[in-house]
This record gives sequence, structure tokens and C-alpha cells, in this order.
Amino acid sequence: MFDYWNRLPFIGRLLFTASMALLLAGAVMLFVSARQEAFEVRSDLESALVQELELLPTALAETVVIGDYATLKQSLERFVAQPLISSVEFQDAAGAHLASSDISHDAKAPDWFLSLFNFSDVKGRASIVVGGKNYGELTVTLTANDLSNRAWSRLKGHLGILFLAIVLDFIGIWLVLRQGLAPLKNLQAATHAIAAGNVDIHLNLAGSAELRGVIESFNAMAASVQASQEALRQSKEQLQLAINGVNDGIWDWNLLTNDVYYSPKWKEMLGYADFELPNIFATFEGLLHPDDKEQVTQIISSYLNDEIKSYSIESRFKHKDGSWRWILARGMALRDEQGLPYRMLGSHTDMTERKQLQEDLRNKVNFIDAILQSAGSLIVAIGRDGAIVQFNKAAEDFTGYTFSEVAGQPFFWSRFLLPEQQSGVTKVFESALSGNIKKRYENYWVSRDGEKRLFDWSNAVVNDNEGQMQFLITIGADITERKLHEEDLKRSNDELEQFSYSISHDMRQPLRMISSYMQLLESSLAGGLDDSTREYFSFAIEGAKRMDKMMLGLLEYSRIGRKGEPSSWVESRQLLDDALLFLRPAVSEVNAQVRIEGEWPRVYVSEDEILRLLQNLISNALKFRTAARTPDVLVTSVIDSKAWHVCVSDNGIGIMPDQIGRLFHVFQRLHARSEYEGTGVGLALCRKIAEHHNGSIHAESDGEGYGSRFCVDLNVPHEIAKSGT
Amino acid sequence: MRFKRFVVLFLVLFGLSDAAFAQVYSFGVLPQRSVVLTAQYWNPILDYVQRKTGIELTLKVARTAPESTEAMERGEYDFVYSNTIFHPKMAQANYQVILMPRDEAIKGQIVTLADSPIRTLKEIDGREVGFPSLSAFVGYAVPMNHLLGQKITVTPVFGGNQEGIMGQLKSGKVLAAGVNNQVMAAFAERENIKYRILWESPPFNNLPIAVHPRVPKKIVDAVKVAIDSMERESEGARILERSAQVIGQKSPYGFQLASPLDYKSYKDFYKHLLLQESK
Repeated sequence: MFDYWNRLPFIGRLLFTASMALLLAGAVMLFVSARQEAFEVRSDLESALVQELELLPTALAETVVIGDYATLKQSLERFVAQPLISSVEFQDAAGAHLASSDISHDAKAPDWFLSLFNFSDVKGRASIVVGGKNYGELTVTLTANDLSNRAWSRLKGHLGILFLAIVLDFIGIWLVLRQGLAPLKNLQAATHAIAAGNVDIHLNLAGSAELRGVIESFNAMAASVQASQEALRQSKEQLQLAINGVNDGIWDWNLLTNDVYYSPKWKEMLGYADFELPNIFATFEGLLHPDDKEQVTQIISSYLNDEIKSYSIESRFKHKDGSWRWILARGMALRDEQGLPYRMLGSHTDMTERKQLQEDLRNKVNFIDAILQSAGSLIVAIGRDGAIVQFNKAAEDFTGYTFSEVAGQPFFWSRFLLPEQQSGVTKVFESALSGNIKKRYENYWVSRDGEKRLFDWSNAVVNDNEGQMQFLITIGADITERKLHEEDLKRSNDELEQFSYSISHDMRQPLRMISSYMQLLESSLAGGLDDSTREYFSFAIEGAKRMDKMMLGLLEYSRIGRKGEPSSWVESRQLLDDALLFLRPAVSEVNAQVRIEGEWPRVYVSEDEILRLLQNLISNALKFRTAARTPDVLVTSVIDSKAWHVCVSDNGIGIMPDQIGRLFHVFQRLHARSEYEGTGVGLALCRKIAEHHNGSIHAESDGEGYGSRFCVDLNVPHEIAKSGT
Repeated sequence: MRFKRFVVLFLVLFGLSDAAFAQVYSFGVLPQRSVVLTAQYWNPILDYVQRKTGIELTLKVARTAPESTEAMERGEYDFVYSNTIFHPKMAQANYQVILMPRDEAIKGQIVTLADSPIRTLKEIDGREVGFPSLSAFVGYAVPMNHLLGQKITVTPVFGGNQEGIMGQLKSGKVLAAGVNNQVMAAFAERENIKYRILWESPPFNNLPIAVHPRVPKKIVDAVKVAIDSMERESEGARILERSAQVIGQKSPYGFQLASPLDYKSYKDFYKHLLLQESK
């Protein structure tokens, strides 16, 4: 029995105990309540009887005195209809008997209930005496059945309530305990989980205040454990990351057992996998370069003997591939209370690449230094403070100063400048400091002994990571002689141009005279000339005319850049429209289509020259057409930050690629004069106009019959024009 | 005279045969009050008579005065305590007065409450006036007859008996009422009310005790003597006083010997009766 009881779960025992206690208490309460009610019923009945026996004689007195027994009978019936009264009888002094009808008051309670609680009818008698005369006796019987029925009904109701209370109690306790013990169950599960190593647990607060307190404590404990484990994990992770990630090999030497832990990285550094090298001190000794052993052993000994305060040494270890690796070994000993070392930990850093880099860097420095020193140009590097930080041999040779003499002195270089150029050059330097570098300029330097030479300076800056100029490097090429040659050449060209102009201009006059007199002569001799003579005259006149045209072309050619209008801002589209206006008859004649595309800017050019350029290119496109196709000319304009690009494309006869190089030379023709009229100066004129505008011209064609494309790139100031495509 | 009374009493007490006294005689009382009050008043007296004379008088009280009057008209009661016997229609029953109350003669009154605005009979003309019952003599017949004589027309409202109509007067259900002056005075004292007398009749001796002619003379004499002597005999006087207290009657208590001449005023009243509805 007790075993079975003990095997019951706590909730079962509590439910059984609580329910039984409630049942027992309820039964006792009901018994006491029923007995009390029975007592009160008897008391109430007796009180009611006394009351009825007091009231009834008075109420019936008048009827009895009158002797109206019919009314009396009705009165008795009326009385007996009242609750609790089961019968009323009257017997007068003469023995006449009147009784009420029996009113049914059935007992619904079982006999045991009636007998247990002593529910019984009460009966009483009272005389009707008026004025001292006894008119008769009333007998009143009150039934207990109604009250016992009520008590029984109540008892049943109470039993129902008791049963309901037990059920509710059962359910309530079960629910409360289930809910109340749930946190304990969760707590138990959480405890098991923590024991199993799962510390990431946080229980929700639930249950009673005590349980909440326990859960809070548990959560705090779990959080503490979790934090500890997390810290431990992070510490391990950090250690592992440090071991794996720092590119350093870690070693841990137990001085007592001579066991050494070498991290995988330590071994990997020497080309070995983790399992390939045993964790013993002999591994270290075996891989150490023989030449370094004595030094390493001595330093270790000194450190362990506390003769030196730190352990750091570079030595060579043998790589698996046979090469030697420079390793920087650093370490720290752990000492006991007596200061005796019992453990030593440290790291190995592979210094091989760094040593190689240092070597490479040294070589590069030497290389650059050799270049600097052997360069024929002056190479000077200036720091932000204006002080010279580099001064090559050429600079030393020209200036007569050594690097040591000029180094570290701000703006020492201004001594080499002509006084009138010093402020300009200083501004160039200051502009470079603020990020605006003037890449090239020319100026004179004067040497220590007063020699003055012109240099073409090319500047470059070395910026730091933030974009600030660290150094201004300037390379100066001595152009003194070249400048003199260029001036001579320019002077020669000018004279040549003047000569060409004079020739072409002055020679046209006698040529026209020849042509005119030849025509007069032909007219005067017209009648006496035979056909052959007349043909000779014609050849001579035609040759003179052609030569005049050639001279005229040559004259125009020579005028380009010399006699033309100065540059001004003009609308390029307007120039194009003017050119097309001049060419309108030619366009109409050949029924050509001229399309215009692109963005036409406002340009700073010589208006006449560009008009001539466009006319020549479009005119050529119309002239060199094929009979098979209607001429289709496309004129495009493109601008970029530097130049204005104009192209004229056509679907004409095209150009053999190997002939393109001849196109832009004076008097060069690719076709017979009989096929296409012209002097051979037009494209040469275009080239010269382009060059006069710091530009160039080139032609493209896929060959004869494939059309051609002439493009001019003009490096002239330009801006977006108002006119569109 | 005293000797004669003594002889009669002697004969009543000791001289009558057992057979004569063994008979039970009815004693009908005009219900001026409730049945119980009536019984409480009369039963001790009748018990005293029985104890003194051996003659058993059984109290008979009808539920209402008309019922009582009708019973008397039919001569159902041997003895009666009523003044309706003087009505001409009661002549056939021929009840003979043997005893009359020792108290003052009664008067009919028309009264209203003291705080009523009604101050003269004229003011009740055309209004409702309460009366005990059609059979009430000084309470209805006398005052109503007077009103008729005064050409004052009222609508009678009946309360069943004197107590009933006085109760209605007290509660305000009727403005004025016809009452017996003594009953009204006793009621006013008991109920602590004040009233105003609008009109009062000549005195009428209070209700007499009369006997039906069928009752043997010796029985009548015995009863007469016993009741007459009660006031003088200590036990009888105590009973009379106690009964008087029940109905609020003041002394003198009891009855004294009387003859029909003592009630001649009733006869005279009926001779000049204008009222047709009186019973």
C-alpha cells in the first residue's frame, strides 16, 4: 500500500489528498448543516405552530361566536391551504367536529434522511374562548414534509456543489500544479541541458514568486556559466586565431620534461605538415643552421639564467625543400617562486621574405641611384618645405654645388634662377603643394660660376597616402642648343615661306602675260595657222593657265597662317551652313544628299580658314563621286575635352589604302586631270589649315569604290554651341 | 320593594324547577360592535346569569344588524338586546322590555371631525353622510328623519355598524356621520379623536333587554332579577365593569328593571317617521 502510494507522482498524491480532504470536510459540513437545518426546521415548525395557535382562535372567533359553521369550514380550508399546515380541526363544546380537507404534503426525502435528522410533524391544540366562554377546540397539524423536502433538496444541491467543488478542486489543483510545476520541470530539463554542456539556456520567469526567484537564480547561474564558457571559447578561439592567423609559429617548451609543442604554423613555416615533425626539443636542434647553433644556444642559456631580459634572435632553419629560412625567434620564460624557469613560450616569425625584400629594396635603391647619378638631365627632388632632398650628379656638375651643400636648405634652388624668374618658379612650387602641378616649363639656371643655360623642366609629384605632395621631382633637360637651332629653323622657314609667297605671287604676273600674248598671237594669226599650229597654241595657253592655277594654289597655300584672319569665337554650325551655301550649285548639280550630325560647338578659330577647310572637304566628296551612286555626304562633329573633331564621309570613288599617304602633299594627284579637275593643292591646304589650328587631318577608306572619310582634329578652344544637329 | 326583589331573587335561585332551567335560551344582541367585542361583553354576563340562575343563555350575534333585526322580526331569539323592537314592523314579534341600561339615555347625533370645514347641517346638503346601517336607530333613523324634516338631502353611506361608520369618519371617507352619542364619545376617547356635533336628537333610553312572549315568566323573572342585581352584587359589578371596559363604556354599568313606558319616546318617533328606509 505504502509502496503504491510512494510510487504515485507528487501531483497524484497531492490531488488524492486534497480531494479526500475536501470530500471529508464537505461531508462533515453537510451532515452538520443538515442536522442544523433539521433542528431549525423543528424549531421553525414549533414556532409556526405556536403562532398559528395564537392567531387561529382569534381569526376564527367571530365565525365561531356567530355559529356560522359553513363559513368556519371555509376558513379551515383556507387555513390549511397555507404552507406547512397539513390539517386544521375544530370541535365545539357540544362535540360537533369540523375538519379541513387533507392537503397532500408528500415526503420526497428518503426515510433514512427523515429518521436520521428527526424530521416529524408537529401538532398543537388551542381553545377558542371569547368573553370567558369556550366555544371549542382547534387542533392544528404542521407538516415537516415541506421543510424536509427542502432540506433534502438542499442537501442534494450541496452534495452536487461538493462534487463540483471536488471536481473543480481536482482540476484546479491539477492545472495549478501542472502550471506551477512546469517551471520546475523546465528547470530540471535546463539543469540536465547544462550538465550535458548546453549552456545557452534562459528560462522564462513563471510560477510562484519562490519559483521565479529560483528561475532568476538559475538564469543568472546559466548566464554566468555561459559567459564563462563564452569567454573560454573566445579565449581559445582567439588563441587559435592568434596561433593560426598571425603567421607566426608558436612553440611551448616544457623545460622540466623537454617536451616542446610546435604549432602547425611553426611546422608549416618550414614546409612540414603537423604530423611530420615530432614535438621534441631535438626537432628544433635538428633544423637549426649549424652555424647558428652556438649563438642560439648561448642566448637561450643567458636568458634562462636571467642574464639577459629578453629572448629574441634571428637564425636560420632548414626548410623541407632544402632552403634556409631566416626565423626571428622571440620567447618568454615562466618562472617558479624561486625564479627558476620551468616553461618557455615563444613564437617564430619567418623573416626570409622580409630579408629578401630588404635586399631587393637595397638593390632598387642602388639601381635608381645609379640612374639618377648617370642621367644627363638635372634631377632634383624637393620636399614640402622647399628643401632639396635629392640632387643628382648632373645637377651637381652644372650648378657646381654638391648635394650636401644644397640639402636641407629650404628654397636653396632659387639661387639657381634668374632674379626675374624666381617668383614665377616659386609659384609653380606652391601650386604643386596645393595639388596643381605645372608639368612642363622652361627657364634658365645659372651655375655657381655664372654659366647661364636654358632647361626644359618636366615635373612630377610624389604624394603620400592622403594625397598630399611629399616630393616634387623635377627633371631638367638642357635645351640651350636645341632652342638656338629651333630659332634658326623658324627663321629659315619664315624666309622660305616669304620666298614661296614671293615666287608664287610675283611669277603669276609674267605667266599671265605669256598666257595673254599667246592668246593675242593666236587671234592675230588665226587665219594663217594650220591645225597643228593651232593645237600648239592651245597647249601653250592651256599650260600657262594651268600653271597660273597652280601658282594661285601655291599662293593660297603659303598664305595659310600668314595672311589669314586672326582667330575668333565663331559658331561652327554657321561656318558649315556658309560652306554649304557656297556649294549649293554643285550639290544641286549632282543631286547629292548632304547630312549633318553631331554636336557643333562654338570654336575659337580662323573663320576663313575653317570655312575653306569645310568647303574643300565637302567639295572633294561631291567631286570624287561614282556614276553608279547618288552622292551621299555625311558631315559630323564631335567634341571632347581637348579637341573638335570634324569628319566628312562620302560614298564616292574611295582611295586605295596605299595612296592615302600621298593625299595631303602639294600638287599630288591620284587621278588624271582629264578625269577629275583640280590643282592638287586642296588637301594640302586642308592639312596646313589643320596644323595651323594645332590639329591634324587624316583620311580613311576601305579602297576604291568604298567611299572615303576625311577627319580633322582641331585642338582649339571650344564650347557647346547654341546650334544643334 | 327591596323585599320583593329579594323574594324574586330567592325564587329565581332556589324556587325554579330543574326542568325549566335545563332549557337553553337564546340571547340575541343587536350588533352595534364587532361580534367578538359583543361576545366579550355579553358572555361573562350571560355566564354570570347561568351561574346565578342555572338558566343557560346562549349569545346569538348576527353578522350584520339587518340580519339581527330580521331574526328578531321573525322572533327567533328568546331574549334580545335591541332597540329595533320598537319599529312598527317588529310589532308582530312582540318583544317586551324587561330591563334597561343604567346609563344615560342615548341621543342621535350628526357629527364631523373637529378639523373639518363643515360647521352646519346646511353644509352637508347634497353630500355623502355616513350611517351605521339602515337599522341603526339613533345612528340612522333619528338623524336621517331629522334631515328629511329639514329638507336636507344627503346620500347615505353605511358602515355596517357604529364602529364601522365611525372608522370611516376618522379616516375621512365620509365628511359627517349619524351616530349614537355614547358610542361616539367612547370611540373618540378610545381612538383619541376630536369631533364636532352638528346636530343632536332628544334623548332615547339605550338599548333595552326584551323578552319574547314564549319565554316562561319564571325564567324571565329569574333573568330579570339576576341581571338587575348584578350591579349591586360584587361579582356581578366586577363582571359588568370588566365588560364595560371591553367596549369603553363608562359607569354606571349594568341594567335595571324597566317597562315599555320607559321607551315611549321610540314609539313616538315611529309615529312621526318620515324615513321610509329604516328597518
